Amino acid sequence: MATAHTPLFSVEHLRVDIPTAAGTLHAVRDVSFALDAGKILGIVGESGAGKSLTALALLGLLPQRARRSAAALRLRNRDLLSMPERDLAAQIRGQRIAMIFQDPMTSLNPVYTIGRQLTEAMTLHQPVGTAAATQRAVYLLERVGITAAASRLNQYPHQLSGGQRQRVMIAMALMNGPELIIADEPTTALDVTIQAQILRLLADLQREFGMAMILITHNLGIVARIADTVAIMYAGEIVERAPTAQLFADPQHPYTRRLLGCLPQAHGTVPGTRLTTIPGIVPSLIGDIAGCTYASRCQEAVAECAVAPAPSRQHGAQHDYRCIHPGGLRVPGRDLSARPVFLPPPVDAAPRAPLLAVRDVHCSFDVGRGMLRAKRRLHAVRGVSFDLRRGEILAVVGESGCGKSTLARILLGLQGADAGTVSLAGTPLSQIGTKVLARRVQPVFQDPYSSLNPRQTLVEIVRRPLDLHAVGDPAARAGQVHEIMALTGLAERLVHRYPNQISGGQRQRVAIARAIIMRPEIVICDEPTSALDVSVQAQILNLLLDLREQFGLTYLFITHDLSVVRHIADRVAVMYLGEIVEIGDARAIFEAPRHPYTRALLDSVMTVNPAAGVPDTRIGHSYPNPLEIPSGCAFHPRCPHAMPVCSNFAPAVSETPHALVRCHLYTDALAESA
Amino acid sequence: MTTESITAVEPTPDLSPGRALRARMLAHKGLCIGLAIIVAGILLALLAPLIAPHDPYAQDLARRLLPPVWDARGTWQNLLGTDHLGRDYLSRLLYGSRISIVIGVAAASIGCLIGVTLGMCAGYFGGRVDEAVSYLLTCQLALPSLLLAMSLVFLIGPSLFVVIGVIGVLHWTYFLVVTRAATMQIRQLDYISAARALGSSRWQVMTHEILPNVLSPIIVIFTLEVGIAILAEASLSFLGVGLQAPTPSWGLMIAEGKNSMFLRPWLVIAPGAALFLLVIATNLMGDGVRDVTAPENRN
Amino acid sequence: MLRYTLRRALLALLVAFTVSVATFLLLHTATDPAQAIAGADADAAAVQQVRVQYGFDRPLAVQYASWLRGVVRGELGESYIWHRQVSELLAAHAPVTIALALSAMLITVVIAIPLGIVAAMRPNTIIDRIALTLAVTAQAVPSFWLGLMLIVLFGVMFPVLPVSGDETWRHFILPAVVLGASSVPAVMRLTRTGLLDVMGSDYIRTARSKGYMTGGILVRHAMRNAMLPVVGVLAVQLGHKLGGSVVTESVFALNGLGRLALQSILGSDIATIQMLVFVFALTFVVLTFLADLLNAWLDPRIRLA
Repeated sequence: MATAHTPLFSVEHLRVDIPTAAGTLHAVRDVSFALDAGKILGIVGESGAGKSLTALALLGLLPQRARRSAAALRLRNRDLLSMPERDLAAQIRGQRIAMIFQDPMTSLNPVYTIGRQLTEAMTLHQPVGTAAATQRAVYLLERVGITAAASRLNQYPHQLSGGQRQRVMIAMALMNGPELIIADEPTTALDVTIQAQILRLLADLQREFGMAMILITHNLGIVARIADTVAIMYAGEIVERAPTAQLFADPQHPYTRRLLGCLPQAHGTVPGTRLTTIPGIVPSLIGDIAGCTYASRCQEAVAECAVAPAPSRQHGAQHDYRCIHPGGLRVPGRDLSARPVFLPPPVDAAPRAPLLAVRDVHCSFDVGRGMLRAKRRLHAVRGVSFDLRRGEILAVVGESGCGKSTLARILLGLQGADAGTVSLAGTPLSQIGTKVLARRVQPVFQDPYSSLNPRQTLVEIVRRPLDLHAVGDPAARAGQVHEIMALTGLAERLVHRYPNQISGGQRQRVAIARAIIMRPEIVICDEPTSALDVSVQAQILNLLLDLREQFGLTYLFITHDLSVVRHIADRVAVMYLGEIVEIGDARAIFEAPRHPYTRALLDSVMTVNPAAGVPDTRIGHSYPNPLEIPSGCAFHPRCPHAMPVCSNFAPAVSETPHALVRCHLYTDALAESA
Repeated sequence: MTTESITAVEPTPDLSPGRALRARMLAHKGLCIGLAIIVAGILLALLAPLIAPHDPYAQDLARRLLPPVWDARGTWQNLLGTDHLGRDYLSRLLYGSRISIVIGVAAASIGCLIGVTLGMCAGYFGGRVDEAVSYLLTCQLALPSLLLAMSLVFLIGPSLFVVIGVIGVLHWTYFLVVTRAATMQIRQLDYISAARALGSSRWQVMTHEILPNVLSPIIVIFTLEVGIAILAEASLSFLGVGLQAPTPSWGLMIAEGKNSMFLRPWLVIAPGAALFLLVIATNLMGDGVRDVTAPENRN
Repeated sequence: MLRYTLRRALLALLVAFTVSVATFLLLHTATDPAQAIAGADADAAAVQQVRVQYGFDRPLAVQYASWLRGVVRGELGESYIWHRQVSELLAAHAPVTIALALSAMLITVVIAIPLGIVAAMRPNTIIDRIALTLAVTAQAVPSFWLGLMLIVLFGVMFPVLPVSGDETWRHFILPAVVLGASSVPAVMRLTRTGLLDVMGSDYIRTARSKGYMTGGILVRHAMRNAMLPVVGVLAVQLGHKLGGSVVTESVFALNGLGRLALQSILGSDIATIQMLVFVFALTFVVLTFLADLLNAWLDPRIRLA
């Protein structure tokens, strides 16, 4: 791997240890890599793998308690490991190596202007005056795509949108022309369409300025498209490292192979099939682990794996991995053989009355608290209509501000609509009592850490619906609880535990158990897998599909993840700023999207396709703000096909029996504006 | 959309929250010390009638202002000497503990009831209710509570119940602030929405879901407020507008001993030290409970 | 910003008004002012005469209205026991209390804030533990007892400071220490926690990644953020010192508003008590209003909401 020249940056055997009450946590056990100038290294791993700590350790920014050690840590020929803090701060950080963090809202100081935070990055390291620094700041702001840069200098972070703040962070990192940029999950906190734009920006800048980049993320698609080399981290170690195309074409380590199989859009996966999952959980990182860290979950583990650490092997040029098995002797990682295809229950194709009929629902809020304060109106839902047919999975897709969560709350009866009707099997919700509605429509929420009451045991949580509705006789309820928990894959021994004693995936199972114990007709899933690791997401998706088959459930599945949508949805509704802009069969939408926003959304999805590069969504940068809805068609400020009529008139809906699109491109625009 | 990926790492499953809490409590030195002192104080207070060597109200002018036993002129009959009316100081001190503890706990309870109720309503219902309660809070903060307490107690008539009532009614702000903040934080969590979606009524949500989760900060504030109430009563009695003679209130004893303080400092040191010990014990306990249940809220 | 200021000013006025109403009601229902003035031994006829003379037979609302009218016009009433104008009494006693409160505040700030900063910069070390122990201890000491102990110390054992009276500035040292010490724990803890939170925040991590060292970071980025909540608390503490000076003035025989309050209470002089409570509340309200404005000016999220 190392050739005659010196790499720009090299790390050998990096370790990070954190003392805790229960013993030493070996968060990073053995990380080694080398990076050449102008190249991008992607470090990928699920949560708990130690990626962020690795990034902080490279610059010596670990929290006080943590201990870092390494055999070598070099920038060109300079030894960063033993460099005193003063030199690191003065010469390296912010100057030769810059860092971009995940959450731009909390990473920028709220009480100082953008301009000040930018210029001080430069004046700290270079003997230039404020004027020169300001000039460079304006240049970089424009380069990163912020319009009216000079006037922005006097703005504060809270006055910018998330995407804009991240652009500012990038500009700040570039102020001194660093050789290396470390980006820790730079786009995770952003909407999907903006993610693509920011990544494209990063890729362009990296090329233009000839910087090297270490990109840390949990998203395999992103690294596939942008990185030159990919390193897969698991339990504090790099288990496989290879040039990008090679890693995805011919992965060697069992973890990598199964991880790729968990992706809903892994090449070759037919929608609706059972996803590969990785059984078991990451072992505790406290104390030493004898043998291979992945052995406890590996399908191909043999006796030696638990005893001796996995040796490092080579597979072709620059492709290392750690496994006891040499290449070629193994079972394929993706169990293509044992994959039953789900048979979706027959959907009501005949035009009978839909299970849930939503007609022209509007909902808005006053925002701005406190006495005598001017209130602003937030229009969350603006005229949403659709049908939900019995037995189908309808995916509702949209980014932040589109109103999908408010819509979910309306359908659950937690929020009242200002106008319009929602009817469940013909009866308007307003005429259905709370308790009755609760037995027929139930939610599964996004965050497993906040959807369970921390002071109740699992059995109490799952039993609560039965108690509230006085179902059956009390003695029988315990049996029902056990039955449903077994159905959702929760082991018997967990029954009396508290939420903090189980994992995220298990918590989500409990939430699902609670939702279906009363056999509802509709389950409204609000981003149920967005907060889960890929391997856990696969388990939950499989479970949801199983349960649908078993109980004949109907799902309204809210998500922003289009690969998940493609995998499980029968029909898709796309929302933007409170309206449904397109709705139709999933296959039709994916193969031939009509609305420009739908097209942009689909373009933004970064599947694992190394040859494809970062997509160019061609939509504008402006930020969708439900407090200031544009006139006419709400999407027109960002639309690549905007026409004059789009800013003046809201588009009428163009409807066929199976689909709907709200765009002037598909209506007789002249007739509408007459 | 910023939620972090949920780790597949299983946390140590062995201890349930209850048992883990107990273990942490026992390991916290401050908490144990505070608890020990308070338990000792309560025991002394309960057993005062049995252990006090004399009747705290019995005067004996022939034995006035005797020094404690370690002084040359002290006697074993009055271990801590006597006051200006010949009453045994140790007995008065022991009986005084009953007064302080009872007032402390009772007044804190009144404040707790008012503050927690208002706080939960403000935090849960928000909107106009919250605005009204916040306004009430601001008014209460603007009131010079010591002055008002002095005035009311003196004017209405300085009895035990009046003292407890007045102190309690003027000391609910801390409870309100904490309960309101905790309720507002919890209200947004998904398990509240889930409970409502299950058909729980508002009342059921407040008692079954929210209350168990706001108990820890309330307990912390309660212990601290007991200390505050004890000091408040002591101040009132010291100034002469609280409990009146011949009640063995520690504050009153300090006031009575103040005049001969230079020559007979024990008259002032003993009750003051007792106050200090009791209040520091409640503070240690309060801080300890806070450290143990929510160390991130350390303040 | 202007709208914010007007809003807060209006709120401040409303609060002061509400407080005065509440106090008026409480005082007039807690006791019979006519009885208090006439004395415990007076017979019913004498009490009734007093009642009519002072207008206590009128409905409470009317009495309050006339009180309010008087306040607005600057006529603050007459003391029932000293038979002097309340405004005179206030003017005579106020300077001592103001001097005491300000010097106590100075002591608090000079001790608590540096202590809090040092404790935050070295968390969980000896210094931090000492600071926290100091806080816990200072909170538990009854202020009047501390005053008496200091009097014994400096009056008898090391007679270098005067312990009674208010003639010279030296007379204010011990009282200021006692009064100031009561706020030190709260302010110190708030500074410490605030600074700890800020130092652990993401934007400080960003600053470090840009190349700031600890000293530079502290001054530039952290202090301004950490001080935001402290400003509010200092205003509240100052407001409370004015009302809480009763004990200190009583122990050290200072002739300030606190002393006046105590004597008024003991003499059931409701007119003076009412006025004192109102003045204290008004001062508190003004101080917090100013603190709000300062806060809004420092925090762009409020200023440019």
